[in-house]
Amino acid sequence: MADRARVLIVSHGHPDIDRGGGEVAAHALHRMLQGSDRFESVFFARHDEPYPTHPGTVFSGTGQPSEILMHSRTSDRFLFRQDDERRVWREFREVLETVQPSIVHFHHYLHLGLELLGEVRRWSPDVPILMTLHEYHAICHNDGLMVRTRDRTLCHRATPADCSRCFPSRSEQDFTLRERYIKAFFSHVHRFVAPSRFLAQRYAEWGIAAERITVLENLLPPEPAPVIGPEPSVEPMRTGDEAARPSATRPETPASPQLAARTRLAVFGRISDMKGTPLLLEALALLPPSPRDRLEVDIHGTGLSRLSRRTRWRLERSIKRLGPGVRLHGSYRQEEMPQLLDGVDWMIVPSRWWENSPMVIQEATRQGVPVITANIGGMAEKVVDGRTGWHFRAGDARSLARTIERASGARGSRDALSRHVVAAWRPDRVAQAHLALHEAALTTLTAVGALDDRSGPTAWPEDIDRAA
Amino acid sequence: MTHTALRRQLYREGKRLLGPDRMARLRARSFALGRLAGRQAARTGDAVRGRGRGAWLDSLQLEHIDATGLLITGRAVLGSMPLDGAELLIEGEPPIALLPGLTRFQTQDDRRRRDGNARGFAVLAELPPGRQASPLPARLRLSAGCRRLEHRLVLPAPARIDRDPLAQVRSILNRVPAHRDGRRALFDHAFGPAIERLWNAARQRRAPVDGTLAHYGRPPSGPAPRTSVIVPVYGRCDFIEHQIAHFSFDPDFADVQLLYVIDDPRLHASTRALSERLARCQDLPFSVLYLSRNSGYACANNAGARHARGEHLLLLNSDVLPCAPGWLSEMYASLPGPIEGTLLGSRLLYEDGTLQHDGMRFESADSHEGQWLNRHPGKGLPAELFPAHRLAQPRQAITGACLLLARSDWDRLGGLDEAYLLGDFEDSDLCLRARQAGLRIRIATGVTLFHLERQSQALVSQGRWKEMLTYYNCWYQTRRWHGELTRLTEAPAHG
Repeated sequence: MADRARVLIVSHGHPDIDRGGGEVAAHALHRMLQGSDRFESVFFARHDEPYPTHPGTVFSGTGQPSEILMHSRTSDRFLFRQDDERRVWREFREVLETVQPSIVHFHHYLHLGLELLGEVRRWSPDVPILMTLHEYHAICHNDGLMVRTRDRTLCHRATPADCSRCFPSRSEQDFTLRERYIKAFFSHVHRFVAPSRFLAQRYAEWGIAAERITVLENLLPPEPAPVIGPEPSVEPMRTGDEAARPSATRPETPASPQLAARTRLAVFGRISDMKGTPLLLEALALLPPSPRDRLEVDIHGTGLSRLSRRTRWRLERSIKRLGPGVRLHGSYRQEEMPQLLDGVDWMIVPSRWWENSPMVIQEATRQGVPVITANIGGMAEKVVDGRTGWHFRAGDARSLARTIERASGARGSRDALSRHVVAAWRPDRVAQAHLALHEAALTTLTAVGALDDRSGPTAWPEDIDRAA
Repeated sequence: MTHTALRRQLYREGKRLLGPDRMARLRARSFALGRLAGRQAARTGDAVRGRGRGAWLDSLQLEHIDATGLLITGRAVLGSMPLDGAELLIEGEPPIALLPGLTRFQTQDDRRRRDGNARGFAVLAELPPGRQASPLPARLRLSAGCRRLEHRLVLPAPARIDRDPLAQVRSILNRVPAHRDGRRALFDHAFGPAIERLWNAARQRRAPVDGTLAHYGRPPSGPAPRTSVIVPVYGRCDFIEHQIAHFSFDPDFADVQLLYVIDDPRLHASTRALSERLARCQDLPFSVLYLSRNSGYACANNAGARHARGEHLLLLNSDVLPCAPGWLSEMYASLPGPIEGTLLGSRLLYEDGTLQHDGMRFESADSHEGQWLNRHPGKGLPAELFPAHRLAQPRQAITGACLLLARSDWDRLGGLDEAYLLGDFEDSDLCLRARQAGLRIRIATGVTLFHLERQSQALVSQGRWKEMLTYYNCWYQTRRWHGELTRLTEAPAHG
């Protein structure tokens, strides 16, 4: 359609290949824009499978309309440079010239190369560029975690001197150059999107003018619709809250009162130290046997195959020691989330780093499950303590153990929290806000042009929430 | 025991008998003596064979191209000076100067060394005509500054007539260094002309390929069909079954002669069995031309065209499958007039819905040292991003994977050029000749077929020589069309 503005969404991966939160959010945005009557969207993602799919080109498709995959392997995680410059001036330029986007929305620069930002600007001096920030990569060289390398303590502010202490092989000057280099490319971006206020604050402190950051939650992919019509229900009709839940994902009713009396906890995400898997196991081990026997803990962990054999063996041993109540499951698919969360009393997000806006918290909100989470960063922001979940002291196994113990005997308060969670789920408002953002990008930004923030860091407004 | 091992053992024994100090002094003296001997030899022009000091030559390979051409490759070191003399000396003949065409290149070893000297050399020598078909003693003399080197060798007998030219091309291409720097010069002076002459000589001395034609289903009768669809088959024949599954329910094929050309003697038996089965279980008549030898894409199509009865020819790859029936009449419908005077292609898609072919554009690439490449704009990008027009659109060139033209135009152009090797660039060459003859090149962007590109080509044994084969074809196209292509790409509009 001629009157629909075309958005090019640039993502560092495709959720079908690498299922990280950033990729899923970028693709969900693409699907949402495609479904709108104001925009059409083209999804551009890179992959690094061993070989390009087709001879003589780095591009391939996914079988879905308007999706482009580009083969690229870039190892630079310091300056985020594209190793093969042809990807920038030839291949990415070809994409721009073919797609002719009215807006370019970057969902990362990692694996893609910051130079792509410059290439968009060279291609057109006034096409609006949006960028959604997913982690703290630009600020922190330690995988964007803002966690110190030596002792894994939390880092509050990156300075070249501190960064060089984390990475002694690089000098303070290297980190100054890095920051300058990244900011030079960031100056082409009209508007940054931060999925959490916390992340916006961090980037504002790092030097991006707060008025250039919009705080906007990530979109979730829509809940999977039943493929072949609604199944004839064999269960009796339910009333109230329960009836609102999709019947297709309802499991069998608990068999015995013993099972029903158990508290079900679930953990999702990558198995790693930073995601807090060992912390959770430690907390469970600290629990006295009586509450532990009343728990059912399901750990749905991705990335098991990437662990070393030794780490995996240790993990499995400590899970075994915790008894039959704790189970380690393998990886899961996005579409399974409603099913996996059904009947779960609490979700635990035990991360040891700041997080941004963990997708699993959104999934829990969608399914009405309260969350036990660390009291820092994006997690603490997304889960309101005492209203949609409970906080524990980040990195503190004893605090987590106490919170779990409290949760195991508090069915009444769990149900109250659950009602608040259901009320907090406002997906339409998020989608509307995303549409409004792109609309604004079309109207105001093209007229005004890029905001210049080269004036250097001055006093940033304390409250950046107003940008939301 | 090897020489080195013996020397090591002697050294150990000497150290035991004479003590380490005396042995070290002895070793230094023999080292100095060796260097002196090497210098002496270089000054006096004595033959130095194998690895001497300062001047040596090895890895020498000689290959007869035709009656007089001889391709010489090897590695030679004469200090660090550039070569200032190179000649081939044959008893009773004047010396043959090699220097003007001699090209140096870095071997894999040289690239690992720090000095970066190029030790490899390649030259196409012209021998005196009328020599006997027997081995001949000769000498290769190289000089650089004050160093000279003379190497005795035996010229092999000229190539036997029945030698497989493709095997010879392969052995030559396998000698091209893997790195790209300076490859253009190597091809310009040595490898390119060598292969060109070899291939031409082979084409002249061999009879044109032919084969036996077999009809399956209803035998051809009545007036000539509108279109002959020519499908060369190499490597695997099961594509025939897939294509016929689609074609047999396509009403367009009532007026089509479907002709498969089996360019692979290994497939004769299996294709016969398959064709007989297909003839029994479906009703689309088709013909199969069994070629007596593997002769390459151009030859196979030309042979097929000789047996084609249709007024128009459609060149089709075996791995091209229609998306929907009716595509052939849609191709015709995309032209405002008759097909005469036009080469018409269609849009081809990959199995994932991205563009494989939407016309080609010539591009002179720095990465190929100014050679002209055939670029496929939009390749791998979603097809829906490229507008589909009702009328066929002009392009610089189109692929031979699906190419429709009138029989009269085909005859006027003389078919595909068999000077290209195996299957690459013949289509763009045909388009360039067509442009020269004033024909139009068009593509029906609204007609799409699937092309499982290189599924059939992947069956050609892969390796470096295949890459070099493409390079040779590219080099040949550049040599032949450089002027024309420069004019074409400089023109603001094309069509």
